[in-house]
Amino acid sequence: MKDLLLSVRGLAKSYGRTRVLAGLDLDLGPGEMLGLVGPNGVGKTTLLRCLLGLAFPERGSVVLEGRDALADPVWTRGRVGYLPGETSLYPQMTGKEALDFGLRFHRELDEETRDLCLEVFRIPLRRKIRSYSAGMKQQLALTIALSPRVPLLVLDEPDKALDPSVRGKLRGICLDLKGKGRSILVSTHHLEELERLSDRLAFLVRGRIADPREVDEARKRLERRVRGRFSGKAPKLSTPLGCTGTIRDGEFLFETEDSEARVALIDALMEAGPESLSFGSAPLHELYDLLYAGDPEVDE
Amino acid sequence: MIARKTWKEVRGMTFAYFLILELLLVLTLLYWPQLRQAIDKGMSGLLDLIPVDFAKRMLKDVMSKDPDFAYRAYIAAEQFFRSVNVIGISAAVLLGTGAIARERENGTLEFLFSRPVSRSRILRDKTMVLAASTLVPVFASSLSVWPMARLQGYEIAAAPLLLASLHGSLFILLFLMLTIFLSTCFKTQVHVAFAVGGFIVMEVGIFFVKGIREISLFRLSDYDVYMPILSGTLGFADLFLSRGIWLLAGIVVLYLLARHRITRIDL
Repeated sequence: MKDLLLSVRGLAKSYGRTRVLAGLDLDLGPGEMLGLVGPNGVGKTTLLRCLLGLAFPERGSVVLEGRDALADPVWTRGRVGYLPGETSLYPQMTGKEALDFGLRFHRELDEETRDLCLEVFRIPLRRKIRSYSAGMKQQLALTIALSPRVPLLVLDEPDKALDPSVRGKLRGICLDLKGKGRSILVSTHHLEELERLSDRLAFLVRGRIADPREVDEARKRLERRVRGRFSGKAPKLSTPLGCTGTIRDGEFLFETEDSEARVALIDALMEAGPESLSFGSAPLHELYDLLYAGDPEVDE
Repeated sequence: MIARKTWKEVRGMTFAYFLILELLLVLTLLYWPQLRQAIDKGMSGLLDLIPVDFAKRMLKDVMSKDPDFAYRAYIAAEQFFRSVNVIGISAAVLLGTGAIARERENGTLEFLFSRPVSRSRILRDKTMVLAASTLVPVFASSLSVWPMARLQGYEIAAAPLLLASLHGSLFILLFLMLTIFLSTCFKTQVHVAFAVGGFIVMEVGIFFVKGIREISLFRLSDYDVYMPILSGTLGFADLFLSRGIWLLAGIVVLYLLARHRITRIDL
């Protein structure tokens, strides 16, 4: 407990009859980057809002730096740099005014990070925000969120509306901040990027963080999969004994518990001349699909 | 910082509102000699044309042979009962509807609430600026009656003008607080405006119906209040104990309700 920067226990929150968080537990250590994963409506934004006292959980506790974060939300917000999921800046302000307004309430600024963001993002600070593109607004909101000298950064879909080049720059800034000892809790739908950047991933499933054992089991199951991609017409393959097969996005996916059947399957696929053949790995998008199979997508 | 931001949002509207108030005052004062002349020509039958008692009383006072008394009656009716009430309340509603509801509509509420500052302070800073924006023009306009009256050759003391302005301001502040409270309850400015507008229309309706008129809020700020103030027959203590205290209580209650409500907005 002592080594944790953030500890969430039993967090529960409903909107009307819809239960969004159902006794969620989450830990985050100092200097750690945790990627929060889940489809729309699973409760990622609600969780982040609860941490900052913007939404009120029905029960549960949030401890930040050993202090009850829910009891003193003003203090909590002073210790967190927050990027809301919906970029909401005052359109009548210039970029500079919004930056000053957003940072004025924080006691200490990380001027180095602020200057780095301004240099990398190239935001037209003198222009009114109403003339900004969605990407520019997101970059300004990111500068406001990343610049306070705080131990925790909470970023809700930070790469939204950013082009690939700016996403790469953002990745660099996040790694730089992590190097400075900041903890980062980030939610995004760019799974591969999240996997590359995060120390850990937390899958939000039915209002809770999925049990790591459950995730490991899913990974192991995926590692037993054999994937073959064929160009042109798909070859006629009979499913070998003990294998279950599906076709997804032009890719043959076979799964078997029996290692002999897997070898026979690999041989058969090799003979058919595949464009690519892979096995023994668990791609994140497949893990995601497996964990959320059957979960209806709901808008948050 | 919140105060400065809010002031930037409302300063244009505040200035426009002051200009309207001042323009009405100037037109009112310029109209006075013509009305006086018409009355002198024998327009006493006009009294019978007025259907509401207080309006008859108003007209009778304006037609008084004492020119200073008549002038005060005219100012009480036109500047305080009409302009301050109508323009002041309109400005309060226009400025107050956006206090929180506009932030919700623009999607900026989450950004504002996620700053390390309490929601009570956000409400306090916004209320202070909106109150100043609504009330300063009332004082500035009403006190300018004093030099303008002198220019027209009439005597009207500054102290009663100040007291009438203070009372009018409290009345407007009550509507501002009602609007701010509703702004914390509704999600759009239009809903807030409709709710306050509906309430005002109902109050005005009650004010003009004999028998139930006494329960109208507008009885706290009508001609029967301002004329005695400007005539010097209703002093600060009597005014405060009979009416001001109710206005103040209403303002405090609405502020506390708004504070309660804003701290419970669940994003």
